[in-house]
Amino acid sequence: MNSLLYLAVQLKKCMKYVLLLLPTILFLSCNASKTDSPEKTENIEDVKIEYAQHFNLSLKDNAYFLEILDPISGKVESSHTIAPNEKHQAISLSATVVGMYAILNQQKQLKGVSSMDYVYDAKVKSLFKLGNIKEFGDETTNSIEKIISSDANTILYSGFGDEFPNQKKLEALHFTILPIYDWKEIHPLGKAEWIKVIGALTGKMDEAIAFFDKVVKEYNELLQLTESIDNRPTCLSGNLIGDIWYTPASESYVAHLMKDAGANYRYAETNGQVTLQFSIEQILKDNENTEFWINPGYNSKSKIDKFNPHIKHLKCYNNIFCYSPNMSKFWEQSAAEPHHVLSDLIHIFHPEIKGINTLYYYEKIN
Amino acid sequence: MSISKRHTIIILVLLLLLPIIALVHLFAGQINIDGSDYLSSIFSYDSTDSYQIIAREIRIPRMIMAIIAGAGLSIAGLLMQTLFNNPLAGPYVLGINSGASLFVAFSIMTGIPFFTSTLGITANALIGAFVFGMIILFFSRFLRSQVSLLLVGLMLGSFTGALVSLTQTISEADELKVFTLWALGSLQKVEFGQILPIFSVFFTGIILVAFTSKSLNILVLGEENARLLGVNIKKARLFIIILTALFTGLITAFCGPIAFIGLAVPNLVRMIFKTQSHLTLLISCALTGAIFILLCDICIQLIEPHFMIPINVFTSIVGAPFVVFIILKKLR
Repeated sequence: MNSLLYLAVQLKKCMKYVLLLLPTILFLSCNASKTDSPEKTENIEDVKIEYAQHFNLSLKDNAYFLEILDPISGKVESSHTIAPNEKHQAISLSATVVGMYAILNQQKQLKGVSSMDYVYDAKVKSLFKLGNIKEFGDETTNSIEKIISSDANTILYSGFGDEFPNQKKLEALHFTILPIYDWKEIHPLGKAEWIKVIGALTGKMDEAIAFFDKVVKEYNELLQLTESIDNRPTCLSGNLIGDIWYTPASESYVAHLMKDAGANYRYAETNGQVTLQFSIEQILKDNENTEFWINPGYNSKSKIDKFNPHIKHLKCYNNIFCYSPNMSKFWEQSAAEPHHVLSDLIHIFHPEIKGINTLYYYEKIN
Repeated sequence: MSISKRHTIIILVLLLLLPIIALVHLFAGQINIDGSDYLSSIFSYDSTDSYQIIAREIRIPRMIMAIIAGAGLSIAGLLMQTLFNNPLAGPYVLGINSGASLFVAFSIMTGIPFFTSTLGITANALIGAFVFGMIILFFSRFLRSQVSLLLVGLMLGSFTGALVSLTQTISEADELKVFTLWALGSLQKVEFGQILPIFSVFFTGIILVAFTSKSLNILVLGEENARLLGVNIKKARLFIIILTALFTGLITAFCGPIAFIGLAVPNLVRMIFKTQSHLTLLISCALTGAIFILLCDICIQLIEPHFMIPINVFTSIVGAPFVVFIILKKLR
């Protein structure tokens, strides 16, 4: 058995040479990571998924069966069997996934990230310094040869609707490629529930479930603080990019958080999940009395003034809050810990509510 | 050279059209702003009234900036075409805009606050435009064919484009964002308070250009003849490059790169006026350019409820087919 394992490791190290034989491999090989759905007659146990919309997870004979669902059609996009004791050495091109590995204290199973510029976790940083974690660039700039010659066998990426570059070639070389659609989840707890996928991959499902349950409990306790509030201040989000103001639609993650935090999102009456676009004139007219502005994309008024010089005429210009003082901390942690985001927003919109005294991610821009 | 009667009539029509179209432009946005809002926004401004804010801070500066950009780029294009005796020359085609963009990119990527300020960006755009004007002038002395000069301009554009891309790949996220947003181009970033200084610089340029019209008329006859007629060629060339850089740099700094105006408008004007009188051409280019960009911006505002198009994209959509038409006409 040991000699077989040794042989497997040596084979993997030589995989870059296999590139030469790719056409033959592609023709002959079957897809190793993707699997068909288990037969209905088999004894399978569903993992409880309460909020997330874009994946299913079930358990049979200690192996997890993961289905990634297409965020638009809701149909199964890909299926993967995660065998027990199977080591998933991952390259994560998504910052939120890096955060989930950190929460489960499984940073050693990470072999790569997109760029260290976006990493907050101290342990990931030290593993990078030791050479155990490498930078692979984003989905458009990574090198297939660098991926093949790494120690990784799993790629986790944000999945913007297209396949991962060279996906078929990598799957033929037994790479598991998983699109992570946490960013498409509307409910903040749905985003956080993706930690169960990371739990399955790292063999830490019990810890992932325990963490998620704790987050749900804290989130719902905070929600109770604002449920009966009548005085809901109006809030605006987003900023100008060029001449267009991009702001979340009413059924988006940010709009959901604003509502849960006891605010009245200015564009709550719109429909859908697609990002809204407005001219600066429309924004000025609609937000004459808006009191708060969150997520402007900058952390100083000088930068805001530079690209949006007209916004200073609005009342909410004196109440701008951003998460950018520590952008990588926010991107890495906030998806899995939405209770901290909610707590911040409640404190911003309702400072009169007792029990919340500090801001975790957000900061007022002065 | 005096202005003929026919030309005077056309110029008067353009002079009449400009304020009418400027007024239409003021009322073309999605939000209904009436005349009283405009009057109040100027004479009894209430900074808490959103309609007055839109009128004073967005619509009026946007309209004035459109006029300045259209007139300035068209004049710059005419100057380039006369200087290089090439109807396809223009600040965009010959890489003058690219020079301004490159210097702005370098200055922004340094991350030094002064360089990212309005003054810093303006200064760098002006210097970049001037330096690249001098480079193209240098090459023009060795090139006899008009096509070769355009190819050099094209290469300069590609070269600076590659340098800008390279700078972007090694820059910090914040600086990258600043440059990307600047490069998108916009007529509505200018504030009411900035209008007077911008207009003053523009007006100075217009006055200086008026003085060069005689030299430009003589330059059309060829360098040798111009020299015989007493024109200091070296000085004239340098002066034209400085003026081109002034217009291109000023407009590029405040609006970002705007394509094809400098190429299409002077050619359109030449087709209508059929004259070599540069006083006529300069006045007509300024008026036609201003009207052209105002019309483009009115179209953008009418389309705005459905989708938004940056001004640079729209002028390219309209301008590029016209340039192809000019080339085909020349080939015949």
